[in-house]
Amino acid sequence: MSARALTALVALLACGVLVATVRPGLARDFAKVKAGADAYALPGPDQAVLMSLGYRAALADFIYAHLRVGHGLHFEEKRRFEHVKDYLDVITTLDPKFVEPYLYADTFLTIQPVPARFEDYVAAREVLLKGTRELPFNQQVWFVAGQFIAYIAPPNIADPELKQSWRLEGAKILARACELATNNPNIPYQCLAAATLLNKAGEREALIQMLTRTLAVSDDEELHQQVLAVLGEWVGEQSREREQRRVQQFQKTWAADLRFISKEQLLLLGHGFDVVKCAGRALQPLPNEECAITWREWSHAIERR
Amino acid sequence: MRALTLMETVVSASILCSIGAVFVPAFFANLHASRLSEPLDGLARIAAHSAAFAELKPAKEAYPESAPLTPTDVPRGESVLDPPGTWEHPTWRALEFQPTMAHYFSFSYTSKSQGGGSSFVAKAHGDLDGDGLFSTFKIRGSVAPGAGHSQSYIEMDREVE
Repeated sequence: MSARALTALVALLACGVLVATVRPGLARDFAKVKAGADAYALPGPDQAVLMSLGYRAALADFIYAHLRVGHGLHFEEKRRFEHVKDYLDVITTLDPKFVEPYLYADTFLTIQPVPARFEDYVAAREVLLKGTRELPFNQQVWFVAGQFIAYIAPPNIADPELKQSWRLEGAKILARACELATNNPNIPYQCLAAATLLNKAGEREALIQMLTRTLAVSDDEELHQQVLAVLGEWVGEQSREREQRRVQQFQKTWAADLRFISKEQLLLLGHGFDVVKCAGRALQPLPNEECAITWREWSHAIERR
Repeated sequence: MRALTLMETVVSASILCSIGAVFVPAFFANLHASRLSEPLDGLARIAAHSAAFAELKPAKEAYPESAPLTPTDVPRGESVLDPPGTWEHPTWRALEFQPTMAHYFSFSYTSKSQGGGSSFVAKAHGDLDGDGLFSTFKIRGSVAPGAGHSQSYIEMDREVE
């Protein structure tokens, strides 16, 4: 064995002895050290947009993945995840149409290994409302936002007035979720829950508007029956009968006109009419139901009957 | 190209081992933590739908009936895809809860009425390392007469098994 190899071997052994001597003490000290606070390394939302160099969606995805993993890690460490709102702000600024962060915002902010604070509920509401602004036709986002603001957050608000205003705001958001076309099988009872909240708050106009719009856009027979029953009970039998007549009349018109297309498509196309028969209708300020061009005109004509 | 000397090999190996010692445990910790999102999201969803359910019902029957551990056998160390009909219990349907992808956790729901009010406990059990010891996550909710739904934060038992 050469002298250099021997030196290397001795050095290796010396290192091994050094590690074996020092390690137990360091390991003991290391075990005592626990992460107690989070360091937030991202710049503000506007700076993050610049930092993405145009890859906004990719950076938003990356930060969202970090947020999800961070949420789990904080559960393992049984401590609050401090900067969730900052991360969500950056993600939703980078990619405002990214759905997932809105759907899980309330979970990230308020489902923590320690009890959530009032400001966490306020922050979650803020993110969810941003979701409804950015994604005005996404039923899931409206549904999650409505559910959180109407039912989940209010029990954690001390001020009765604020609590009531959140419940009402949530009910209106849920009402909007009911109007959006959906294949969510649970939406009927969510709609009824929203109606219950509006009724309790004495919001009669909003209640009627929500129920009639739900009747207009939904194809679900079970939901129709439940909505009509609620209308009869809370608004009046007359109103129920009028809406029932309107629904039946619409079904008849649909069957006679374009039965093979969906209800949404028919509502988009507008009311069909016979051009020859309805010639000169511009001279009639109030066309009858056969000559109505829009569904609004058709609806008014039905009411005038 | 000359071969590395013993000293160079030792230095390179120590640097690689040091880097590995930092990143490999961190990677596995992150991997494990990412799997915790399943019970956390699941329980949050169950609690949210329970709150909506409670809004429509009187306080003494505010929550759906109890549902057994589903799937009955907690997946052991691997994700399972449920056969059709696994989540057909009326409670899971009422709560709109059904994992659509392969999953690692089983869920149960227990509700009861007491003194004019009612309460529920939703649990998620998992065995991520397949050693027969379960981690448990649970969330509780309750409704008292004249008061709205309220829920606890998520409690954990042996979350890292």
